[in-house]
Amino acid sequence: MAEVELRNVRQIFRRSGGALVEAVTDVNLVIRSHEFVCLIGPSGCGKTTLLQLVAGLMTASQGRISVDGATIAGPSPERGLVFQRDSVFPWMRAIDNVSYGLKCRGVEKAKRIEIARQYLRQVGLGDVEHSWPRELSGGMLKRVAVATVFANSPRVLLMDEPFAALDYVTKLQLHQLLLTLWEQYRPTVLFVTHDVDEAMLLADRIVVMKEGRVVDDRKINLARRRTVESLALPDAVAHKEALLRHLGLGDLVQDGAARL
Amino acid sequence: MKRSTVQRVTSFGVLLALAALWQLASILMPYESVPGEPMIPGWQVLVTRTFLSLADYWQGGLGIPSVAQGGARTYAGAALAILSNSWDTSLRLYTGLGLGVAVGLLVGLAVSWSKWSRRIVALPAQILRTFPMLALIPMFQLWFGATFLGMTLFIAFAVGVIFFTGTVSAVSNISDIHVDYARTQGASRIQIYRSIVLPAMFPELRSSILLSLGMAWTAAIAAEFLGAQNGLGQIIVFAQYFGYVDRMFLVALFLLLYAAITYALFERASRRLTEWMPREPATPDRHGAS
Repeated sequence: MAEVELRNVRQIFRRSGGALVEAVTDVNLVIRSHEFVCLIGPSGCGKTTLLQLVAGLMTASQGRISVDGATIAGPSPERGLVFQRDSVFPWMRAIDNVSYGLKCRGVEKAKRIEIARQYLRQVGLGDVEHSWPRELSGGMLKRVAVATVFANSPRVLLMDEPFAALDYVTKLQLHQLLLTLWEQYRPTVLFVTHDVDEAMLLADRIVVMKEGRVVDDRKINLARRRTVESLALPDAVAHKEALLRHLGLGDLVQDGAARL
Repeated sequence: MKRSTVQRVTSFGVLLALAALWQLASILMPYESVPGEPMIPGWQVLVTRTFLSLADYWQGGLGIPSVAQGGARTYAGAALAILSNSWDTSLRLYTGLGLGVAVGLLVGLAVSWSKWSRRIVALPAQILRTFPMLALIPMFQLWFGATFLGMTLFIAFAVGVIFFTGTVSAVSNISDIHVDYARTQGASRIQIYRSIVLPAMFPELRSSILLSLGMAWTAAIAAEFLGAQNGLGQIIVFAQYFGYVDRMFLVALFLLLYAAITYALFERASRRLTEWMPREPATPDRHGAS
């Protein structure tokens, strides 16, 4: 179980000119155990900042973030993070990347290699375990990152637009892979995206942020796995319309049906 | 013919052309530094008379008496003289190089370790780095005399300041994302330095290492100019007293050879350490530009 709770979280940055910018404003949010929450919003709305606060990579200016009641104090492999940019270490072979977190925690070599192999196989990279990252495609690198984060057995999985730079087909394949792993290991997920369709496909709940604040929080009661058909059901379309309006794309919604 | 073979043949051809130019210059400009000593010695002089004259610097032993003890100049004596003096210079050089690399690297890393370590080391190290090296030679001589310690410390200083600057620059260019990625996987600060910072900074540090190798040879010879009783620098100083340009040139050729071997060994080690990087450099001709 891993319930993430954010209470009155506020994050203020000082710009190089000295002006203060409030990136996150009084956010209150509870993400229940095993829940898959997508956080969407336009660029610069504070969603990545919020994710980094939960990851422990920065400390909130105000408020409290806790996991199962314990206030977080810095990064931890229990809260695994998949970045938007390529974060895989280019100087480590695929298997060494996947086993890195285990090595840091003192897991003996034979054991960590066995675990890393298992996750590489699960993400479909069993045959390239000794490849350098430079030899892998963008999609394969994302698979390495996903295998790495799951190898650390996170209770909370944080994902910052992880598939944003991938082509359409690779992105859909990775969605299915992620859902398979999530269904198997059931971590609590906070997934940042700006893609409404991606959020509709993956999330139990979609939280919308705008100018640092949470402006909408909706449960997506659609059966899993979602298909093109299920995402065209009236409930799904209604959610999508509301989300598009939040993103300032109301023009794309006409007569109760989203054009996209 | 393979591209790498063409490149090797071309490089070798350039070397041969330079050697031929030198020979031509020795014929066209037959000046003398002192009577009987050519200003530009030809290859026929260098490989016979000049090489043999290096036997003067053999201090005796291994069944071959020194010239000072009345022994004749022999090729064996000359070879032993070069070997023993090269050993003396190399010992100073590599000890100083190792010390300079270690200190420069540690102080450079300390700048990024924490705010406190940065406050303590950054300013003094930046000031020390700007000291003119040539002005420091007599100071080191007065402080330590012409001793192994003094010469080694001088080399270490010369190398250390380059390595310090290179390390600070290389660390500042490491991507935050890799450090954050390691932190989220539970890496400690020591683990981050060992498994992220060091390998990530190596490609950029490569140029500092190459500079350091060149500087180490320069510093080693400069240090030996100041009263060393042995070493290749000392041979050059004695040769200069008597206007033996040929001996100076021959020793310089040996220095060139050693430096080339050092660079080649480093290149080999470097290729291994950067195996993870893309192999082909981005050159204009690779993209079809003329």
